[in-house]
Amino acid sequence: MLSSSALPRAVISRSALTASAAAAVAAGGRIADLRRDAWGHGVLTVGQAARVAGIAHVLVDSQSEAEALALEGIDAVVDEEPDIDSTLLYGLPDADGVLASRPILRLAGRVLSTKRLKPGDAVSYGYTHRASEHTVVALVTGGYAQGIVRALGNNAHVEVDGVERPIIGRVAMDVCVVDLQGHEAAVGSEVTYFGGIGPAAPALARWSAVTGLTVAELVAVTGSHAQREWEA
Amino acid sequence: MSRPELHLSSEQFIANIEAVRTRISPSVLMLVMKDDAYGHGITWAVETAQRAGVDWFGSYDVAGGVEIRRILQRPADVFAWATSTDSEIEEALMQRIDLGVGTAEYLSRVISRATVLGIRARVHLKIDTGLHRNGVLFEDWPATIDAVREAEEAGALELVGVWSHLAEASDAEDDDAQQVFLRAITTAAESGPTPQWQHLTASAASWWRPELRGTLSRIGAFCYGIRSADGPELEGVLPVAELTATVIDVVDEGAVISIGSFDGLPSTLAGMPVGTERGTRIVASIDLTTSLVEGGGLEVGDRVWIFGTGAHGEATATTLAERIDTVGEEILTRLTARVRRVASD
Repeated sequence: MLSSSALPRAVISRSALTASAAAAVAAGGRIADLRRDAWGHGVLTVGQAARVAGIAHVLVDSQSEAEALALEGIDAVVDEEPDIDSTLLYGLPDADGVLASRPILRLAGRVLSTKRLKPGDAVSYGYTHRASEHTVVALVTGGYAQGIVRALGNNAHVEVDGVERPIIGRVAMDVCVVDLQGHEAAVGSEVTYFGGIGPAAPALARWSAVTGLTVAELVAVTGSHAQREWEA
Repeated sequence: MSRPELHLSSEQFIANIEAVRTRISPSVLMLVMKDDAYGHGITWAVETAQRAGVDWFGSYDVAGGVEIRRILQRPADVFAWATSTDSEIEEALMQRIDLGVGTAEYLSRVISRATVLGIRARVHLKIDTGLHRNGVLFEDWPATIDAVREAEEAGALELVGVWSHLAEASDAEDDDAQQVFLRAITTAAESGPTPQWQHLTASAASWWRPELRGTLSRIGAFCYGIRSADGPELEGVLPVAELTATVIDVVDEGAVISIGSFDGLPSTLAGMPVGTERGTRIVASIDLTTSLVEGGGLEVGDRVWIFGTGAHGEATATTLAERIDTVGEEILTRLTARVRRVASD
């Protein structure tokens, strides 16, 4: 299938991965949990970083996967208990939104279009949000089919140009609407749902509090539905 | 390790499509295939729908439209409505994919790419009838129609459709939206041919509000047998997909099955019923890669139905969704690629 500008991107930071793998090793343990494509981060990239950092074994889903990784010099196992702290390895927040290491995965959407709203104008299905004043909203790629949970509508923020802005109205299957709160954004501008180094870095803690889902499943499922990219 | 499986009934899919078509006639069905055919798998869905005689397909993005075109064995109309990049517009034009256009900015890029390639773009122009997402506001509609007609004269474009999305907040608000929709069509018809394809309604409104239907109805959910959350059952329509997992271990507390929250089954569904050959059981917990089904009597290798038609005591996807205040579509589309899609008849 062709790549699609309509899908969110999971941007994997190699430098964050190197640092977090080192931090995870320093904290102790021998076996890292790389099941389900390394929690949606990409098993080969994370496996290589784990090997370089000196992690002895990685846990994967199947024997065939372990054999493929063996060709890369990565020692993978299939039925042992992982004992390395996954929160440190992947740079995930705790319940209070504290990050002990930098997030490896940043989930990014893009602005499809913007629109001026008048007071009283409703947004998205069920009209669960109405503008209270004149504002500008952005239609942004990413919806519940990509793991941006439907319950996040009216309950979470995204980062646009370094500032957190609220998701307003229902999250749809492929898009959601963000209130730019009087600011503008160009078509194609990037939006960060979680991860990175800005205010959205620990946003998965908020997602978990709103949805009742674990941070682990939130990152694994969004990571597996997004288009993956790598950055230095 | 055994993977969870999503079993797809081709027979039921065809039956649902026929029930929907009968219900909405003379409005024509556009079968919506976004997000890998609502998680069912686009190859199977297109091949099966073509057997059912479907000749209008809706994709959210251009990539999905191109994929539909690749799978199709005979001519059909394909519509892609996401605001797309210039290279995607060119791909769509070359593959004869109709484009949904909802902003002046996108319209100008479509005209520009069509002019460069010398291919007349088939455009469905979107009017914003209240959602404030994609779509031209009514105050900007006359000027946008002028731009469309000018591009038609230049040979860059053909206005083949007008469309919108309903909010489904209330019948009265949807009626208001229809008034805006009809005024937009009237305005367009004043300066040229009346666009042939008029589509406002998706599954629920197409089924329950015949007076809102246009010449075309964009329907995904009901064709896959996903009823609306908090909505009634649908005559002649049943779920197409059933999700199963396998018992991989038996412990004191019950049976461990091969599906977990990492496969897209929300952990908040713990406490849900599942079906087995021995009747309904309760899921005590949903862990990362496995779940625990309470009670004895299950053996390693047994199949457990997570959702389906209810034949083994399981709930439907929509009934599960209602437990966590969402819609059946989220339960289906959240499933990851690790869930193997298996066509069963």
